[in-house]
Amino acid sequence: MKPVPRSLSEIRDLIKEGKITLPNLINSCLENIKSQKDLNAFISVFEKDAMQNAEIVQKKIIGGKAGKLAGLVISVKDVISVKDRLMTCGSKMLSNYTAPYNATAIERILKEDAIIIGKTNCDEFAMGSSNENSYFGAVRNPFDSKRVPGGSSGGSAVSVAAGMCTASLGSDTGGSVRQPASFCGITGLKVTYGRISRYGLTAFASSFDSIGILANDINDTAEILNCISGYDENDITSSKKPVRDYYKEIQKEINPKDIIIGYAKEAFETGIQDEIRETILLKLEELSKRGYRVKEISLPNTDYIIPVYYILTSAECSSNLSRYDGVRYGYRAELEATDGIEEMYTRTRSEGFGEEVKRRIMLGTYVLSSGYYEQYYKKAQKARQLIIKDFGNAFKKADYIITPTTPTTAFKISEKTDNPLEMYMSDILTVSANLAGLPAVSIPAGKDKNGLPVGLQITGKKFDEAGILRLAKYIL
Amino acid sequence: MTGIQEKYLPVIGLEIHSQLNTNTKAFCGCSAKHNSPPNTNVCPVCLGSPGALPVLNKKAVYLALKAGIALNCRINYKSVFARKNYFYPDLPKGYQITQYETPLCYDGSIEIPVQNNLKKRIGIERIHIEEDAGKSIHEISETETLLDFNRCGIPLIEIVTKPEINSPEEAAVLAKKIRRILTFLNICDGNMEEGSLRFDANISLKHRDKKEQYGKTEIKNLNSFKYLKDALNLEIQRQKYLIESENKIKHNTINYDATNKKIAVLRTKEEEEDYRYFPEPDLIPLTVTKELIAEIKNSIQELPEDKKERFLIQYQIPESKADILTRNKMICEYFENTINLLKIKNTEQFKNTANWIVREVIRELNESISKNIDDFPVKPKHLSSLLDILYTGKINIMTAKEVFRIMIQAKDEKEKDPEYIIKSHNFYQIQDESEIEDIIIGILKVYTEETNKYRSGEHKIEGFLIGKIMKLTEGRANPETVKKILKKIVFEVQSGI
Ligand SMILES: [Zn+2]
Repeated sequence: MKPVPRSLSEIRDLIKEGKITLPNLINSCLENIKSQKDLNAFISVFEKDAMQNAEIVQKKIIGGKAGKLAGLVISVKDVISVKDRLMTCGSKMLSNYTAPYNATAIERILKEDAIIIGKTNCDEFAMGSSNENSYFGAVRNPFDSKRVPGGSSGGSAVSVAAGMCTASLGSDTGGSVRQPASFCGITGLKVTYGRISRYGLTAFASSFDSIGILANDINDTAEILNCISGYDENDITSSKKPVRDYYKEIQKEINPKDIIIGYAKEAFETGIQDEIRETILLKLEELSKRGYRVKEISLPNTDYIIPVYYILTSAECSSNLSRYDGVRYGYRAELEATDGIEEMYTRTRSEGFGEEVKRRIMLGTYVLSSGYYEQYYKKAQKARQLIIKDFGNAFKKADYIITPTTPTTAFKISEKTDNPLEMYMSDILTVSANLAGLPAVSIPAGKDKNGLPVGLQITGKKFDEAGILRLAKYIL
Repeated sequence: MTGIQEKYLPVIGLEIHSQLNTNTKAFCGCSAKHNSPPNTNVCPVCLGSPGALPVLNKKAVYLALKAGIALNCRINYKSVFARKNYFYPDLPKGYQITQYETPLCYDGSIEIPVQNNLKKRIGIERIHIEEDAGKSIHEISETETLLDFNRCGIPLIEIVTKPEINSPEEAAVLAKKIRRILTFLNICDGNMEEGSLRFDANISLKHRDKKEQYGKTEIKNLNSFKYLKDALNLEIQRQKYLIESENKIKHNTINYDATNKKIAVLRTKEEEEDYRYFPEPDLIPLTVTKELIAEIKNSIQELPEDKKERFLIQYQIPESKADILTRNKMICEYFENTINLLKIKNTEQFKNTANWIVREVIRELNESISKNIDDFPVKPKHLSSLLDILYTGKINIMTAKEVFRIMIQAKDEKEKDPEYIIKSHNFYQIQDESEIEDIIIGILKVYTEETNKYRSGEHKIEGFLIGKIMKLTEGRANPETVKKILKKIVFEVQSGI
């Protein structure tokens, strides 16, 4: 692997000092992509365009007229629309689909002169926790290529961790940014629901989905967030709350005495790998020593989290994925002249979707069907309200909640593919932020005995991205 | 037919689908215009491209509320959009955005006239907003279905009545009345041929003596009042036959074939889809304010029926004219503005105004490109002054029509002024009878043969002679005066002509 600068500030300095140029940097990134092809991080690489844009932006930098993200080399999860580029969503269904427009987040980073290097591999339609559910093959963890990188933004996490780019835009519906960030030893931010426009993000579960940022350096996370967050008239669920200067906010000093950190005991109970528990508890102890007030809080409805999450996300996904029917775009099954519309739908969708996606569409269709709607969907909505209430109560006592990001470090490829329930449990610590619409960030906190990264998760109050990022910066 | 209705009472409810008169679609910025080339009014949102999201059109909400208020509904200050999930090629997202558990408007009513000058109140169950689907076109290719998504996403309201209609005639009267309200308030263009307005009807029969209610069926997609009535009559016959022979009615969906005047069962309830409704997560709940509702109430003021009644009493114009004038709110306003600007205000002038607008203005409007009276070149100010001049007898009706035509074509304000036109064209009627006499005498000298025939009793010659006289005066003589003087000269004076 060619060494590349870790952060945007390093890139800026090196360019200023004339030690590198942006085209050089792109070259190194492209070489790293090529030399680590076995990691399978990318679905499409924009070699030519990235190079051309690098030259344009390099000139802008020298001329002093560059945008706020000039120098940033970024990859984009293949569920986010980049105009005139393939957007496969990791699925056979969209393996030939070209996006007709830019997502709002893409518009915003391009306006600030970020360079998109390519689209990253992911679990099909962002459904998965290991990046093994991609039509384009599994993505491998750079720390141990026999292991998974996490999912569903696995390709994004790998692209950042393995020096193929500086940052990545992913999506997080139940931990899909934080869990792979944790498995790959980088920072992964999931924002408050509505902080970043979803326009152009392929919907998996609309009331859970949010675009997230993966980066090596938390300052980069803040700078990117500055550019992409904020109200968008194309997404009515995006928030009109003013955007803070997150970068400036996180440079501010913290007075530990002002801050109460919640320690959710439920998050350290069953199923957590010992080394993870110890690492996070040790961090809490350190914080306590430095003057932070660490307080035990309780999230009594933790047992409902996984069932509620899977009922609601599957329900929404079954509807969101109805549009992939072979009629207008994407994959269409080869049909006999005698086949009717029913055959086209059935065969197209049977052949075009992978196992996990079909499992969730079936589950979602079931929980919405008449006779079961009240029993499952409605009940789960009520339980979601209870979980939101739990967090409301917890945040009366504490400013932030610290937990591990995942119950285990990166597991082996194929280890959990035959057991979906076990796979679903790997999201136990991340999905609650999506259920409650809260911001949460995963940061590297150490390594286990196999040298695999351990992630620490900070969850904050709604729209307190500045707070969780500042605390994260402090812990790092 | 009547026999059936005596033994069984039909119980009918209507679902009225009305496209809303908006410039753009319900959830995107695409044009909602009809008759554009296929698939030109489309975008990622209405085509269901991955990642595209709906944004609610405020005008659609405004119009839906207007319908709700006009139909005496209660309004849900917070209503929720839902997804109705089903697969169909002209439904690009695989679901239709509609409202389910909490519609925008509910619990309204409307009165329709029934026999003996009585009125009957029919309940409105709900009115909700939803989006239209695209069109599947089967006619062009034998092997393929073509799709046009221009219509996809056009805002609709669905007005659901309570099952309180008891005959096909009542159903048609109600449908007509609702159409009139919707078009009058500019909520819908009411064009049933183009599908802007269409009806579904559900119907069951009730035994009058046994009070037993039989199963219900639904007739889908009727796009004329006649089809509505005919289809209901046929279905009543079919249900009656089934009750008498099998004593039960299956919950079927019925299709009406207008060409062959036949009904056919489409599917039974068991085969019907489960639409898996759930709240639309891409839209926030729709909230409306008391202020908005007050504003809309204010803007409606009078409904067409009330306006018509008032016109009959206040202006004493014939009912047929009042009917036409109250079909469209803007024509109503045009009429009343003209009346208000008249200098001579009496019932005769009111009638003249109504006549002129119905005969001349609306006819011109129908032939113009913009059917909108606001774009009509002759404004109430000038029309009223033309009508006043006509009333004083300074010009005759023929001249007035000519002046009106010039007004339509005139380019600037001054040239539209009838006074100016009449002066500059020398259109004033010849007031001096001796002047007319001289002209008549001149004409009779030229047409001596005809004059003699006329005098000897060939009455039909009169028209010919008047025609010649009018031509010579360029229409500036009053035909009545001409006739009077002509008779006097020919039959009384017996001067040596
Ligand atoms: Zn559109």
